[in-house]
Amino acid sequence: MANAQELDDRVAATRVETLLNEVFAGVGALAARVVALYERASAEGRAPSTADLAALRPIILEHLRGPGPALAGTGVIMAPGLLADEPRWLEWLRLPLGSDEPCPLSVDLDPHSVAGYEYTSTEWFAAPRRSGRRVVVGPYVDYAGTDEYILTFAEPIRSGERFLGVAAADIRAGDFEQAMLPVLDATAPRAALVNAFGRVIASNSPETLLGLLAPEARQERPLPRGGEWADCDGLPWSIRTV
Amino acid sequence: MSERGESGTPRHVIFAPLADGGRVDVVGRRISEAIGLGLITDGEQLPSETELAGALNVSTVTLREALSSLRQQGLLETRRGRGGGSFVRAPADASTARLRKLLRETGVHELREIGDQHVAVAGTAARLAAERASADHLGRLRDLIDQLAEATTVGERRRADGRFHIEIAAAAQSTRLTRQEIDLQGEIGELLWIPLGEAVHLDEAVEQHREILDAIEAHDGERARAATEAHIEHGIARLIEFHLQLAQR
Repeated sequence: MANAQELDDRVAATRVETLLNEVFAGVGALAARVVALYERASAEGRAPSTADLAALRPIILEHLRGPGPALAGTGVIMAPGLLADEPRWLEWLRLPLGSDEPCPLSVDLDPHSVAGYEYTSTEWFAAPRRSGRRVVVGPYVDYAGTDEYILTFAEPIRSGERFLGVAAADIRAGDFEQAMLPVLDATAPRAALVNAFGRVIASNSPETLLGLLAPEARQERPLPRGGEWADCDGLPWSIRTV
Repeated sequence: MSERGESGTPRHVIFAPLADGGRVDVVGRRISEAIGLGLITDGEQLPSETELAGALNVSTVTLREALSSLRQQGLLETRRGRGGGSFVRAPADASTARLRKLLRETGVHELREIGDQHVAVAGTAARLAAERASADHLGRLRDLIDQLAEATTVGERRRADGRFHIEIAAAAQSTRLTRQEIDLQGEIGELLWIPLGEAVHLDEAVEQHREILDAIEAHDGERARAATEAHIEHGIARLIEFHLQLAQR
C-alpha cells in the first residue's frame, strides 16, 4: 500500500514539476530577452526605455498563446527607476476572462492612489529581488493588477549584480486546479494540493475548497521535488489527504 | 454683522452644548470639524470666550485651552485691541471645497444606502478573513494600521484606511468582495477624511482597526464582523451628521 502511495506522490510531483517547468521556460526566455536589451542599451551608453521593451511584445504574445498551460497573462515588470522614460513599468499582456483578445494590462501605477499597483511590495516582485530566486505565489486576489484570483510564477531579471525587474506569468487559480484534478483523483478520493501557507491550490473534495485554508490533515506529504526546483521559493507544496 | 461676522446659520449646531463632558479635545474637535466642513469660514470671527463657553456649556478655562490648541494647529489667530478676538484661518484648498460640495449634495438616503452596502461587504469580508487569512495577510494588515497611525497627511490616512479594508477583502480570498470594497472606498473614502472634519478620528480609527485585526487574528469571525460593522456604521453616522450641518447652510 505504501508503495502505491509513493508511486502516486511521485506521479503528482512529476505532473506539478512538468507544469512549473513549462511555465518557467517561457518566463526565463522573457528574462533573457530583457537582459539582452538592457545590455545593448548600456553598451550604447543609455538606459533602456519603454520603446525598447515594446520589442518584447511578439514573444510575450507567443507565450501567452503557447501550447503550455493556459496563462491569464505574462510579461515583465521593471524595477523602479530603471527605464529612461517611465519610473515604473509593466510590459504585460493578458487574456481577459472569456476572451481571445490579448490586451495590455492597464494598471494604476501611481503609488499614491488607493488602488494603485504597489508592485514593488508584492511577494512575486519582492521575493525574487530579495533572494535572486524564482517564486511561486498564490492563489491570491490580485486586486490592484489583474483583478483576478491567480497564481503568479516569477523569476528575477538580473544583469550581473544589477536587479532589472521580474519576468512572470499568471495562471488563473481555477484553471490551475482543473489541471491538477486528475493527479489528485489518482492520489486519493479526498485529497488537496496545498501551498506553503496551508492554502488549497486544488482539491477534489467539496469540503476543502480552492483558496481556503486546508483543514487539519489526516495525512500530509510534501511533494518530492526534483533538484531543478532547489532555487524556487514558495515550495514545497504538499498533498493532504482530507 | 459683516461678512466676516458671526453669520453662519449652522452655529446652533456647532456651538450647541456639548453632551459628552466638555473635555478640551472635544471642544477643539467640534470647532476644527466646523472649520473642516467650511461651516465657519476663513476670516470669520468666533464669538467671545464667555459667550462661546456659555453656549458650549464648558468652563472658560476648558474653552481657552481648546482655543490655544487650535491656535497651535494654525486654525485660529488672535488679534488684539479693538475689534480683536479669535479669527478662523481655514486653509483654502480646492479639493476640500470639492469634497464639501460632494458631501452637501449626497443625500441622507444615499449615504445610508452606501453605508448599508459597505456594512454588508466589509462585515462579510472580515468574517471570512478570520477564517481564511494567512500570516502574510496579517502582517500586511498590521503594517497598514501602523501606516495609518503614523500618517501625517489626510491623503496618507485615507490611503492607509482604504487599503486596510481592501486587504481584508483580499485576505477573504474573494475577488468579488474586493472589487466591491474598492468601489465603495472610491465612493466614500475621501468623504470620511475631509480634512479636519474626519468622520472617523484618527485615534478612533486606529483603535477600531486594531480591534478588527485582533478578531481576525483570533479566527473569531463573528467578532471581526461586529467590529467592522460598528466601525463603518460609526463613520456613516458621522457623515450623515456632517451632511445635515452642511445642508443647513
